[in-house]
Amino acid sequence: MTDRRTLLALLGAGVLPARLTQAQHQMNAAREAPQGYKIQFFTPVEYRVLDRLTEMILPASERSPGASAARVPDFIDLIVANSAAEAQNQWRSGIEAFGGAAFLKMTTEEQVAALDRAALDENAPVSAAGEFFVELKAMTLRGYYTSEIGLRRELGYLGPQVLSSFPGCKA
Amino acid sequence: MIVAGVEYDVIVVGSGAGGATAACVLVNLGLKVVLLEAGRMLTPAKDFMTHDRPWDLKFRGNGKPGEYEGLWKINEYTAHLYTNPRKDQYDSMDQFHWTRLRAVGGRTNTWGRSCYRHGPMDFKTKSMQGFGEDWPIGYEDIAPYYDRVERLVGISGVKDGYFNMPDGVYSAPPHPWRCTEIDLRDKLARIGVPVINGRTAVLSAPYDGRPACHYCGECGVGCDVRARFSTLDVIIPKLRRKPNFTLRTHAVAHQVLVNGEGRASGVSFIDANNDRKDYEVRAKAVVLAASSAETGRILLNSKSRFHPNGLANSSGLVGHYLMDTTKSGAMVGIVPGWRNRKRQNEDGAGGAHVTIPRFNYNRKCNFHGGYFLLFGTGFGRSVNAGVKGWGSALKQEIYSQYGSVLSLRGYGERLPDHKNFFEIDPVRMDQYGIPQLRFRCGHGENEIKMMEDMYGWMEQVMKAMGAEILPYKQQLEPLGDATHECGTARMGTDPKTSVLNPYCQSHDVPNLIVTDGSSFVSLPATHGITTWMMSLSWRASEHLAEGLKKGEIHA
Repeated sequence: MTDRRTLLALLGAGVLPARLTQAQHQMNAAREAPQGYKIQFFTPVEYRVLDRLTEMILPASERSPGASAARVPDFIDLIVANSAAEAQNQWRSGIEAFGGAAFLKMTTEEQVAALDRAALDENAPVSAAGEFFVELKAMTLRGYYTSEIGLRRELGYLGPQVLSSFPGCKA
Repeated sequence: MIVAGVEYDVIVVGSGAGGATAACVLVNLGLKVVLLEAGRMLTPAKDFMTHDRPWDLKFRGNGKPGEYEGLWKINEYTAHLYTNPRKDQYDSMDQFHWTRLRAVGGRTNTWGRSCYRHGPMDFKTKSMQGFGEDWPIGYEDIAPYYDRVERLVGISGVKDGYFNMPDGVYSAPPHPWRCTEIDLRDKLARIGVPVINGRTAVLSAPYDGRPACHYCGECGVGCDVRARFSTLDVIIPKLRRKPNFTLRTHAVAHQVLVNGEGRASGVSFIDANNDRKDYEVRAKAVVLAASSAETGRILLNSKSRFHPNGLANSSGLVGHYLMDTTKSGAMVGIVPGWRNRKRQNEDGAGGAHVTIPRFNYNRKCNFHGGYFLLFGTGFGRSVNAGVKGWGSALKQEIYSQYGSVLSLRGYGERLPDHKNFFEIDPVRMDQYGIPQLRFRCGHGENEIKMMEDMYGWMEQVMKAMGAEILPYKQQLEPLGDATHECGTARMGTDPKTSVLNPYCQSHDVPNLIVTDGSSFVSLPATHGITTWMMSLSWRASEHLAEGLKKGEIHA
């Protein structure tokens, strides 16, 4: 579907108006509003642990906000809520392996040490926390780099745009 | 059985590349044509999610966890277009990746858009290269039809004069190159690997009332402005203005009917939309172009006392010699020289603007044929998720790598092999009660040797770029994965060793022609088969129209 901004840009690029009238009907179609997301699976404590862990994996920097601002925990909650019971249990026990509520009471140094320990054998994890780290990190990366903050602000992806011609190599 | 009151000159089954081309030629020659399409009409502005960004979709494009896992081409952008093999099942998903898109335009809605001509050597693999089988026709027979097809399709390209890949008719200049593509050309020249302009059915300038590409990069999910060719957007609108053309959607053809002489008299189809009843439509001739697999299925399901093995199958070869491009797994590398590049919009015309054509013509190989290397570069929508560690260092490394990824795949020749085939599944039926296909196919010695050579050269390419190669496994994708299935009603001059004659006409049933990929005798390295298929379809349809007019072809 085509949103209003794209439609205007297409008009600017000389795309046939007849085609656009057709698209116009789709323009106001309601989108899932990410701001209004309601937590479906994790408990408030689990969610806070997740929020902290994902932000540690991809923290805010001068260039861009981190996983928390990119609402990665919401994305993970949506994925886990729609997963099979077995996967759900793994997420629950994974957060537990990091100490659950106790993780939130740790000092920053202790949290860093816990994450370092879990990440130690990333290639072939042996501990429960290690196995969970692999899954948590994969999902954090997926959520972050498919968000507008991750893809546009952090990486600098400039598309998709409506160009009247392709500029080629401008380096 | 409900019989349509109108009798047509020709029934065409399938509105994809081969079928729509046939309908176009026949209608323009004044014949009364009905085009049967199993799927629905598409509305590009609604059905193609061309401008949706990952964050616009509920699951960011991947779908609900597990929903599309193990499937191919199907994701949140395309699930409403493709047939899901978990819903319309067949027993051999591991052996053959069957890609079905039942809608007006078929797979031209989402195709790869490569339009390279196949050359003289590709028609004569046996006599000129010593393997496979020769086509009963040569490049010179097809060249004038390539011209016509290319004018219809509208191709961006330039005459490069590349060996055995004849230059065509180009309606617009090639798409300008990305920085990475220029760098590849310069560095690969040192190891003798050519990088040339792509020839693609995406317009770089307005043509035939269609706008130029606006470079959003998402042609693969369907284009909402007709900048890339599809039969839905280009051929069907031209035909719908003609009084001698009828389009019948939701018509699931399952049998070609025969008359008292064993010739084709009509087609029976099930209305998938309303009543699911069986309908029959009659004509003087039938064109099958439902895709190689579906056409073969219709033929094998059309058994009668005249044709006990299925229609057009006295040779027993329908379904055999199944081919698909030999497609390797990917090799991915990080090119140090491309790290931390200045960001620019590199979405482009969907995929690479340049290509590495077959380059082993003068090299001794331990396998037959050759292959293309296709690659992907640029500031796209994905990152290398394999970076180790966490925190600022991880984030910085991914930032630095973004736009420095080079991915390569080999797309090679497939030798025709009688042992690769499909047949009717003795027990399984689809939701309409139509007997389903099952596939029996795999890779032979030649494909395995070719794969090893592909990986060897992909490594050479990576080395020439100074790339750090990410872990990979040498493998070939199952047949079907390249969506170039063909060869299952091969053409030839001998009715004992071929199904169709050089005009794609059945040896057994003269008023039946097949204009999809079924007629292919070889599947060479040159990438893409669509305009080849359309050229064969154009030629076959002209021949059919002439025969009908002279009375030489009749029901």
